[in-house]
Amino acid sequence: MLRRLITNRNLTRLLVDQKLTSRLLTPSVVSTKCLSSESVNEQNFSSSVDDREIRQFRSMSDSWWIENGEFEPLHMLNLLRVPLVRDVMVNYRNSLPPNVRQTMLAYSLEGEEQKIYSNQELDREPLLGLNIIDIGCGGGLFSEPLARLGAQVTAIDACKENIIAAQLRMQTQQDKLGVDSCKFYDRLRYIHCTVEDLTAVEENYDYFDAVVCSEVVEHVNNLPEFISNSAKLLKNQGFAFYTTINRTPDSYFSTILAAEYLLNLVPKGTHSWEKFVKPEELKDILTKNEVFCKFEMGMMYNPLTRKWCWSEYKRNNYALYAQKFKTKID
Amino acid sequence: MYILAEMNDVVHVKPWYFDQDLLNVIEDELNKKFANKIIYQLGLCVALFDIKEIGNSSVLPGDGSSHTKVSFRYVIFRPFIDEILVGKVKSSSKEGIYISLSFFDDIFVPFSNLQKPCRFDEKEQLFIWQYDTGDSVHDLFIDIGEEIRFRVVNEVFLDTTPTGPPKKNDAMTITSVVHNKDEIKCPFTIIGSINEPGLGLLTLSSRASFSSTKNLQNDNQSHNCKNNDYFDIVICGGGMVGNAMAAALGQENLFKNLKIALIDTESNKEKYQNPQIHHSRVCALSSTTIDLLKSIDSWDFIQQHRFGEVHNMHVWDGSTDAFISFKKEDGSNLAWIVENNLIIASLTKNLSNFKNVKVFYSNKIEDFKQNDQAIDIKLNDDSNITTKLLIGSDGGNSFIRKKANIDVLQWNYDQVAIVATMKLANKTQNFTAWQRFLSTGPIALLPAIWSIKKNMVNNLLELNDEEFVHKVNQAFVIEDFKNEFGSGIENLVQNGIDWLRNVIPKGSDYFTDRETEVRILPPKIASSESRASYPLSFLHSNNYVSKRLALIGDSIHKIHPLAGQGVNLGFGDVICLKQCLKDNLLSGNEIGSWNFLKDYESRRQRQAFPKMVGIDALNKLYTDYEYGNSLIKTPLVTARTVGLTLSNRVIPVKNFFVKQAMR
Repeated sequence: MLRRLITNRNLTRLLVDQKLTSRLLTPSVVSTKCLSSESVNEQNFSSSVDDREIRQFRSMSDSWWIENGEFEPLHMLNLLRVPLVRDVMVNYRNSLPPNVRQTMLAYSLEGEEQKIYSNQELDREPLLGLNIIDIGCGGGLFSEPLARLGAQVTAIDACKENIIAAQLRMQTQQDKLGVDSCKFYDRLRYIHCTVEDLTAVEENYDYFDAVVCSEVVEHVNNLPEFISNSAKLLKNQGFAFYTTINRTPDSYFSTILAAEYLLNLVPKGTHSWEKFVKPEELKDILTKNEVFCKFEMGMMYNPLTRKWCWSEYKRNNYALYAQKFKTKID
Repeated sequence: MYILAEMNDVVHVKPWYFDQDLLNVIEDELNKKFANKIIYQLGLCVALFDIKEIGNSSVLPGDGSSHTKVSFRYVIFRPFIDEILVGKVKSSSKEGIYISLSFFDDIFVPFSNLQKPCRFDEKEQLFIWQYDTGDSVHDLFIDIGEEIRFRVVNEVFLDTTPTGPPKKNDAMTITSVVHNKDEIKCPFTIIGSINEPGLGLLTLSSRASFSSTKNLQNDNQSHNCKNNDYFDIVICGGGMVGNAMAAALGQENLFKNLKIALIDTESNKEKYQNPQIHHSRVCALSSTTIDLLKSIDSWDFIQQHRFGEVHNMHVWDGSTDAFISFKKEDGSNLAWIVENNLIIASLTKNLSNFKNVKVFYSNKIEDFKQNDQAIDIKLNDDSNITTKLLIGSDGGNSFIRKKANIDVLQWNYDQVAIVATMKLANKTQNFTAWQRFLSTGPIALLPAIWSIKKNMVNNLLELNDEEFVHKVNQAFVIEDFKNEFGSGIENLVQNGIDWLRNVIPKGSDYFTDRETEVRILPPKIASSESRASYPLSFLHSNNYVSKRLALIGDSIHKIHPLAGQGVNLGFGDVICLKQCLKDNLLSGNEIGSWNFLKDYESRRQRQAFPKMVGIDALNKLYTDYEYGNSLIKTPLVTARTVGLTLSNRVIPVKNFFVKQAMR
């Protein structure tokens, strides 16, 4: 199943090594065009996963996408994090030098001349032309809105089940609504791999305009390595976005005692408090990797209205974004 | 239509034909064997074309026949895809019609490939093509035996070679195989289509061809919808609010990539002739509504035709002489009076300019199913639509609201509205809206509505025009239930205000002058035409949204017309929902996601509900109750007199009311 890719240019550059491509799942997302065709072992669901498992994945993929189901807090978090990424990235693109901007906004359809996205198109899809990687995408709750807003999104997750669930969501949507009605899926692809797999290939360095890690950092074992690897993927002046939980007594009380044991908002054992990250620590590691924090804000969840809001209170959940400035330019 | 197939076969020639010419015998044998048979994946064999090669004959032991290897060409009936053929209608059933080519009968045109719109007549067992000429709809029967032209769209071969007995382990399939045996298997079926100009019954094609261009347009624009279409947003109901919603979404750049559908139960109302008779159903549009109409380029059309302006407004009490008059400080209009059908025409006219909006005229929603991801809609003409968001604007008796099980708070007023077009006695233009609260209900001039108690309405409707006009004129001037105490109180309040004005420093900033002239009388009415009445009710829906569903307009709120706010509330919904959808899209969420629907509901309920309650209370305050005697009436009248006088003279209070009425 080959799908027309809106901008081949963006995808052709991302080369992934043999080890990685053999792990790619449905060929529907990673078209052979974007990878050297010999290296892709096209695997079908039917060959790699049995029917019962597929059914299980399907119910899982459904549960990810039920808006008031178990992932409701994450759905609602989109109201904060998507506009944040949108506004920052639109400013970023506008601040680029005109010629860089021009190449970013150029696109060509198959067999046609190169065109530049018009302002009207940019109003509709503000993130057009930007490359974003969503590390730890889960069911794609964050990746899909970004792709819908026009960005070329590469979503990776180390958990195979999550990637299958996300791809199933994409397929069922396309089957139900028709491929033409959800063209933005062409801009979105899910890959089952880790950041380390991507950084193993030097070609991937300096490729993305933005790195997005939402509610991921608190699950990572070796944080410094993780951050330094994700920073490598980032272009100079690109942005890295993080949302995570602070390691404070407050967060122990709210996310572990209250959310997991008292209110049953999230399954028990989802979080371990020791792994939570203080913003200072995160900023320290980022600075070591030449990524400098620009903004830091607390986020509050109100379990009654089930809404998130920005706040000065950072002792629980917080978001920060940072910009990469290379000191050594080669 | 026909192809030549090269084939090889071994022909058995029986010994008793040995005396005849071998070539003739082989020809006969081949025709006997193949003619009128269907070869799998090839087609229907018709006749032998020629013999290319005859091999050596041999006689096998134990069999007297000679066996000859022959290579030959055969004529095969196998129309190519997209070929146009002419046949006769053989029969029709609910699924579609069967066409015969006299030698081949298995041609089937499914319902989905018939000309749209069409329906199946159960009584006649025939299909009827409802041909729309623009002003009327013709029923064109597809009769049996008629010649019909069709296009081949698909061919289906079925392998009918006998199969062995089913294996034991798939017990499931046995039942299905047995079931299949009851039906006659067609080894070769042709699927046809007549859903194009020029195709269909030959008797009609002369008529169809000269209007084919129009037909084609019609098909593309409004009727030709595939069996399962997808739209991002479906708006149900083609009233003022529904049309405005479609136009507002169609016009916005942000929604240009979306597919939007409007389902209208009536036919296209685009053609608007400026009629001599003024329509009696009018709306008082507030400035916010006008801004909306301007933003979707509909106001120009209304301005080209006609509208009335309201510069100021006089409201006074029937029991006392307390009154209040409004005027906008900057001299702009308080409201614009426009006929309902002109508003609809101006909105409909624009819809055809929007490429992303498709209108289904003369259609309605038969049924719909809500689920987490989308709504599946079944339309009247059996087509199905899937949508991410259904917007219901199908009026106070909303089918969609009922189907979605949304409860409402509702009561009928003991009043009926009478609307009529009036002609004024003197020629001067009237820019003032007049409203007087009688004990039987308010009467207003300009948005000319007289609401009155139900039991009195028949009297008023039976009157002839002259008597009616007399009644109306009277209603503005005659002494209603006069309350001396109330008048006394009014004087007291007026004096009180005068005193305050003098005592408080800069009092004139807060209080207006006492108007010595008690009140200006409305102009006399000369004659009236087109009188109508409708019952009044209050309705408020407990929820404005449900899964993938948002309601707007009268389907969620109906109010007393005394302040002329009903339709403005509906247009307010349009503005609010459009804003919510914009936010929704710009945060990358899919259309119709729950948090945005909730957002719309809370934003809108907060604006609309207080207004509705206020208007309802106002009506209740000024209407007499059956059980009321002066004991109840006197404090009521006193309260409202004080209220009205205060609001007329205390400037901040007055500004607040003007603002409310303008919104």
